[in-house]
Amino acid sequence: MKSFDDYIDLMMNKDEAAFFEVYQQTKAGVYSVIASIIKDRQAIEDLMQETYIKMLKSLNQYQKGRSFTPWLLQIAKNLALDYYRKHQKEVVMDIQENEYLFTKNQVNENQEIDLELNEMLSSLTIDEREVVTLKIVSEMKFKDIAESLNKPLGTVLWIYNKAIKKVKNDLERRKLV
Amino acid sequence: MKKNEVKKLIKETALKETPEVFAKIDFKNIEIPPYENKKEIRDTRRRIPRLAWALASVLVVVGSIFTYNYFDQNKTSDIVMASTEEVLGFPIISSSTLLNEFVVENIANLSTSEYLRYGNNNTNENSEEDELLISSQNESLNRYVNMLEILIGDKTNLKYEMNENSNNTYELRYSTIDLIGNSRTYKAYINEIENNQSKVDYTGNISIDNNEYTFEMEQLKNNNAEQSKLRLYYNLENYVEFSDRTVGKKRYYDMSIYYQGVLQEQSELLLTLNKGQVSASLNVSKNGVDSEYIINKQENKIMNIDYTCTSNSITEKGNINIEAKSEQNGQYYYNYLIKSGNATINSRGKRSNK
Repeated sequence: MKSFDDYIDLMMNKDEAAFFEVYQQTKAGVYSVIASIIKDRQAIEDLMQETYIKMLKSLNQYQKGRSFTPWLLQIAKNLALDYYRKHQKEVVMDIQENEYLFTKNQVNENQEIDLELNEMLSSLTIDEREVVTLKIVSEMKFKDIAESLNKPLGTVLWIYNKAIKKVKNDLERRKLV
Repeated sequence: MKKNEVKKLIKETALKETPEVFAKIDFKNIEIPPYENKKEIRDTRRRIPRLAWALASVLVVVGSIFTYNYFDQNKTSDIVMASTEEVLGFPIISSSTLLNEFVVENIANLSTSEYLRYGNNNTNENSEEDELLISSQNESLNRYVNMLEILIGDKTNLKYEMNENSNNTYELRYSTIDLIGNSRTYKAYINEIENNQSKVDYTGNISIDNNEYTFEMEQLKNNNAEQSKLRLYYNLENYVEFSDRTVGKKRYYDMSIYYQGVLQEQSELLLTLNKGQVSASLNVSKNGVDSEYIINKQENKIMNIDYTCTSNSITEKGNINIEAKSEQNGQYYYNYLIKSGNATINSRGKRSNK
């Protein structure tokens, strides 16, 4: 199995198959990072495209041997935050609105409900969302998450466990599962 | 609702929601600038800390042994594991080493045959190996040998230490000596997430061979027994369950390996302490064969196993001596010398890097 570093050289040589492989392995993580900041679906798609384009244009700055996924997700996060600052009124990070969404979806217990990721993680702080997303969606190792967030490993573990418990309690409280 | 269901729900939701934008990215027309100055940082950045860490580990191990011997030379105990560090640490270390063996064999795209060359070195041309029941258990046995190599033997060499960092977060450090005589250190992080009258809940993680494992552990508070349950994951489908059902001085464990969500193998482990030596008794049922192994480690050089294999009405008893030997390329393997009745077999099994 190839590592991301192997794909870097291939992408530098305009190998589209290598880019597709990287895209497939990272798209859910990129999406989750952006969706934890931006709500608008079209904006999320645009920002995902922008993330991959910026990644390709910045490949020569990536230092091999470092973790690729955190580097890519940092690009996604920066772009989403820039967008958020520019379009604050259109972006939803509003707890009250999320409360409304939950209420709207709260039907009888036996009915299956399609929750959105944002709704599911609405009880979490930005830090907690980030750790949960990196661990569960991007399947990063805790030590890589700690390194990329510049936090001690023990703290990252603590944040993660606390966050999972919060989501679990929140979902149970709302009887959504 | 279980935490794993929450994690699965988050993952599935993210995957389901993720839009497809690949086709909208005009890859061919994106200009990718060439490297200005390629830097590979791994060698320069990581070797020095690793070396420092290795030296520090050696100093800690040597220091620990000296300190322990100094303070405890007159202390004897027939309780194989008594301290909190040991009771918490053993299931974590053993289940992670066991699962790591399974991961390397079955998940990381490595075929078993590359690793387990059992029977290639037969001393007997008639290949008596094929006639022995123990031969059907080679893969399973080799996995437990890898696990127990670092967990049994002279108890003064088996050190569990735990330090509290912050926020009920602990660092568990286990140091041991392997069959080659090298000292080994394993480190796990443990979070105490709930502590009430009846139990304590922990979560944490441990890395072995660059594979990372997370675990959830529940320790029951019971005056008559120290019992715990642990589930250690490579991912949601591949994990080990480890139950401590000890009552009294001997430690009993049940171990179950799950591969792709399906139970693959169950075993029972009993640890005993006799004259300062920790020994293991292992029962495994696999492929219609029930095997019992009594395993001892002698002077950190040889593992000795008395075994009994039973299948239908056939019972086979024998003895196995296992040594770690080196290939020409420096890679170590296990050399098995198996004796059962008139048969003597010399074969080898994969020894992981630990």
